[in-house]
Amino acid sequence: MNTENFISMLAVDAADRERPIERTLLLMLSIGVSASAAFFAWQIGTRPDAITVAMQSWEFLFKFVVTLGIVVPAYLLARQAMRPDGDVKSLVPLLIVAPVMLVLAMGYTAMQMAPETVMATVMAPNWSKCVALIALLAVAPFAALFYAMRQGAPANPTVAGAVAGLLSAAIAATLYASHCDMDSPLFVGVWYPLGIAAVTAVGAVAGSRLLRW
Amino acid sequence: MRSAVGGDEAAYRRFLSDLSRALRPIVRRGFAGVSAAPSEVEDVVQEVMLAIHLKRHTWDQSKPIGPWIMAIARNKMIDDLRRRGRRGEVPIDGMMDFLEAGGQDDAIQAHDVTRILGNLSGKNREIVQAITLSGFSAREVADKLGMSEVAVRVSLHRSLKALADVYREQKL
Repeated sequence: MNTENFISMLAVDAADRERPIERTLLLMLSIGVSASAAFFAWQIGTRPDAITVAMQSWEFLFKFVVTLGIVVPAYLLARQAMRPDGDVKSLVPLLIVAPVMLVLAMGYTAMQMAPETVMATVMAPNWSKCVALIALLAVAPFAALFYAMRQGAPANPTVAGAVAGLLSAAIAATLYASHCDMDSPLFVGVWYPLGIAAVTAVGAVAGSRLLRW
Repeated sequence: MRSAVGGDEAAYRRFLSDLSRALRPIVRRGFAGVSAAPSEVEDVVQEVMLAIHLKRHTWDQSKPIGPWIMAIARNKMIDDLRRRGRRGEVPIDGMMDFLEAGGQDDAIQAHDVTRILGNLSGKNREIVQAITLSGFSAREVADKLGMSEVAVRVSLHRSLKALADVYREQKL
């Protein structure tokens, strides 16, 4: 087919247009967050002493500093990763902030404790529940964000999938943090990242296969 | 492009025309090392234009359009070069004559738009043909085939997406 005719075909299709991709992202994000939050409220729930603890312990609040410290840069990354000309690299330093804070808090906490109690805090019995619930709560946001990514044109499908996984897992971790009664940065710093990394890895693999355009 | 993205058909046609002229030398340069036939260059130009068309909602209108177009063109050209590499079609100088006869012709036809669109089902194919060969508008096609204009537009859009799917599958 010559290009002249090809252009006619595209021009007639001019009126059929999708909403700007950043609006799709926002829409899917709100659907994913709502679905996950509703499931959380229904089946899991915030711990009953949340408000008292929040007023007494910096460790409880610090969990949200860390998880939201991933949510915000991951969202900004998602906006870039879904475009062909997106700039993902320059946002990476922003993503490092929360993990660095977490590592510092882990060191500080460990120094305050007797050495033999450190391992017991990390290996608290509900670590598997922590990892599993973060993965479970990430399912709805991940599906919604992955759909948004498919409407986009990611420069790198693997990165785009990983970012969708990271953002959904960080949202899941934020919800889960309000349920879990393990507040020590030593516990949070080991198991939360494990859950988040697992979902991110799944996203990367799915992205490399399903986000080509 | 702003009014074109806004759905103005005439502005969009002008934009696409300019775009094809701008893309041709870019694609030719990108394929300089693998001596592509002119018809093959044209196929890649069309593939890039289709991607730009279907993904035009990913252009951030607060930014210049050039880098966005180049990013898509580069992405598609890399895919195409990879596809040729895998088929072992990157010609070595002495083998050019040998390759000319058989293999390369097949490759050209394999992703020629006419052939791909020929595989569409009856009505969809008729619509595409009426638009591309007779230069009809959606309204005219609708009258000719006794359909609503909306149905014509939906069918065309679906055909374009199917075309993009074929391109993509060939790369896997």
